[in-house]
Amino acid sequence: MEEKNSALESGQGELEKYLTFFINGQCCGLPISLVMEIIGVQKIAEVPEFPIYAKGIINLRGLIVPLIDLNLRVGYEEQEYTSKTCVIVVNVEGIEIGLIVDAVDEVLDINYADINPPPQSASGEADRFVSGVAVQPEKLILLMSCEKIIGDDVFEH
Amino acid sequence: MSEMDSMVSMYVLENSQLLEQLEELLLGGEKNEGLSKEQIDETFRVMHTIKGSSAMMEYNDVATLAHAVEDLFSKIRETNPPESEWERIFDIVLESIDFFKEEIEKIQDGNAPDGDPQKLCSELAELRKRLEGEEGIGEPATPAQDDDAKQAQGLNDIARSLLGNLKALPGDKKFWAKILFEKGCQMETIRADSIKMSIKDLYSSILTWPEDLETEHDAEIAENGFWMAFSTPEEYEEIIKQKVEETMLVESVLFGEEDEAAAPAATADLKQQEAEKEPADECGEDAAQKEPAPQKEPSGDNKGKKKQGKEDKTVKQSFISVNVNKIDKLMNLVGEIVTTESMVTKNSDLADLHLENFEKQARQLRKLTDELQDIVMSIRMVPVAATFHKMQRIVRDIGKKTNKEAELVIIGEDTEVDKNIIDNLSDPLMHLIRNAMDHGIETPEERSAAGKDPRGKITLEANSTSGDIIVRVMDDGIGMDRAKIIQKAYEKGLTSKPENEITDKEAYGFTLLPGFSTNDAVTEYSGRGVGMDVVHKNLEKIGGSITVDSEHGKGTTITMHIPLTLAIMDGMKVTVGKSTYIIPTLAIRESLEPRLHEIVTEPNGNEMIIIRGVCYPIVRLHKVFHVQGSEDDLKRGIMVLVDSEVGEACLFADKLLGEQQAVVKPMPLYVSKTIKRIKGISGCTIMGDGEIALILDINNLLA
Repeated sequence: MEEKNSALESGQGELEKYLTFFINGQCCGLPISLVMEIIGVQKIAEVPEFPIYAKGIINLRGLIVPLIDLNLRVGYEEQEYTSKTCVIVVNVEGIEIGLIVDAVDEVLDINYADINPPPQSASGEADRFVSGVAVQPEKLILLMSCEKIIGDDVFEH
Repeated sequence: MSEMDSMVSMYVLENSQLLEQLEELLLGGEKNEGLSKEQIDETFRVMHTIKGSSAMMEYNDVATLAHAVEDLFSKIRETNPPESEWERIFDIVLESIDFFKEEIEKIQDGNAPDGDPQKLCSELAELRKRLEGEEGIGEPATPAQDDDAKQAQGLNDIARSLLGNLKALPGDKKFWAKILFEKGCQMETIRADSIKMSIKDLYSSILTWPEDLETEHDAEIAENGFWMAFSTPEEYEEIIKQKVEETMLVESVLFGEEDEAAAPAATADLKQQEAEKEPADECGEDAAQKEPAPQKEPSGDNKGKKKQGKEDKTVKQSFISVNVNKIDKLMNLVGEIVTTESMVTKNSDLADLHLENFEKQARQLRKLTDELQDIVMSIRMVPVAATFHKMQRIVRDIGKKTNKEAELVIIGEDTEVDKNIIDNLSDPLMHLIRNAMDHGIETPEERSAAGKDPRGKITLEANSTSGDIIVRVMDDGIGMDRAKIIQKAYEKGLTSKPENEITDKEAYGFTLLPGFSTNDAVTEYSGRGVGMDVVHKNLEKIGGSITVDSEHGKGTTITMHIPLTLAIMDGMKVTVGKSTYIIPTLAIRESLEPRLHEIVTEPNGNEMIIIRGVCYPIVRLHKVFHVQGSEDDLKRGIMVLVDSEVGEACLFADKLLGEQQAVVKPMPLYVSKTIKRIKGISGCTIMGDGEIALILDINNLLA
């Protein structure tokens, strides 16, 4: 659940599996433990009053799942949906939600030691959603916080 | 769910059922002005069970009261009270039932049962004394003296004598246990009894000291402990020990193996052995009387009845209680199967193919899924009987208070309704019956003067028609005064029609409006209305409707139409742009293709449509829901005239797609956590093609 904290604080050379994907050309990651499944984009039913980044709801075998376009959510331009566009369905504390991403990349073992805290001086809006930066050979992976994406207020009890 | 929670919910469930049964029994008995022997025993049993389980759960006040009622009934059982006393007995026992119910409700809500039963207890005790005095019979001879004598004996003798009297099956192991309860835990007898019950499937025979756990031995048990001797297959020994040790409020448990000295006697024939033991053993007498049977077949008086009662129950209830959540899940799943089935069989990939065999099998599948759906729906259906019979109590209570006489006639109590509808039906019914009794039915004198049977009659009727059930509450009381109601309506500015143009339905319908009827003039004459708008609201919540009909001097009939279920809803599909919405059929009055000359636009942009001389506001769904790419031209769309609490309106949509039976699903958690509630949307549903449609909440939309 608290991938941010666990990633940063218990850094003792342990590994965690992350699912990496692309939005707006940038490689990002989510803890695989949150991911329920990955599906293609289906027909979306629009819902009034949804924020602009929430595209609507879909029927995932009887489960009604709201969709968030991750590009729009983090402040990038909306990308056209292609055959590579995927929906990553995550379950965060019982809330199921689908994240629309440009493409799914791979599942990676990331060593806690390789995760750096997010940059302090926020240059773009995307930083708000980043819980850490994983340094891998040849690339940097922005680790996203699902709680932040869904909205912090949802998890306030 | 923790063990404690499940115990509490079990407690609540079981005892509410028992209380309801008992209440019905008593009300029935009241009609016959007395209870039969079986009914007295049944009451006794119910109280005993409540006492036991309450003591187990440490609801001591509840247990105390149950104990008092139990005492009273053990007295009644012996003395057969005179008819004059029955009325008092019914009153006080019904009051006690109310007390139990209140406490159970508190427990259910997670509060501590804090009611004080002192008053009831002393009243019960008083009544019991009076019965005693009348019949001149003392306390039932409790084996107190025997016990006194026993106390004097060495305690080990208890174990030995118990073991001695115990008949064991060959190969069984015999051992004894001494249980000491915590000091001051109270209700020792009941706790002891519940220990015995908790291991009842594990022994082949048992003897206990004190023998008789149906009467009170609290003091002896507190003093000397509770003794048991078992014979049991060896493998059960550990389980028994464990169970006993786990019991609440047990301070110490002592186990011992069979005493060598008692062993030879034990294998001998039981009866003979008892005969031998009797003179020697202080408890022998009790043993012979109460526990001679080594098998679990009890033959003592009390025991026999108790056991019988249990058996009755198992015959009566070939039911299991299932968590509603599980049924809801099953329901959802079946809903899925139904939609998936039509997705498969009507798949567009198969559109142009001639697949004779496939279609045959598909039809078979369809038949089966339909059947499956029906059955799952029927699981949630419960007969209205329980709810209806509760009303007996209200009729009785109000009748007593207001000195009116009325009988409640129940018709069609087997009619079945969805569980969640039943839950919402109880309150409105209570209001209506109360109204009928309070305001409808006249006093016996007035009734006689009007040439009616002095005893009033209220009929509660249920029957089902296609898709919904009709519940009717009829009384033969004074009825409503139409003229007065209409006058009131004019005063309140609710209508401007001349009196002869107002239909009866409209006139009596005014009484359903909030704030209308509480006013003096109307209530006084019409006799109706307090809470009518509450009834109305309650019904609307479950998608029902209500009509009132009345004839002055003859009575009032209130008819409620209630949908069979909330989980499935009939609706009309409309499209707006790319989105599909479902309008509940209940709210729809008509749909029409608008003609331009009927449409008026106010200077501020509000659009109105005139249908048969009446002006309705137009609500463009695409504007309300901000849908892109929809029909903008009123001429080319469709209007649906809908009715709501807050008035009527014409909804404008692109196209009407036809009827749809919708399995209602709530909006996902994300929505309820972030936006809370979307205006005008009550939920969503998955349509035959797998796409999602949003279900409109008309009341909310127009509010």
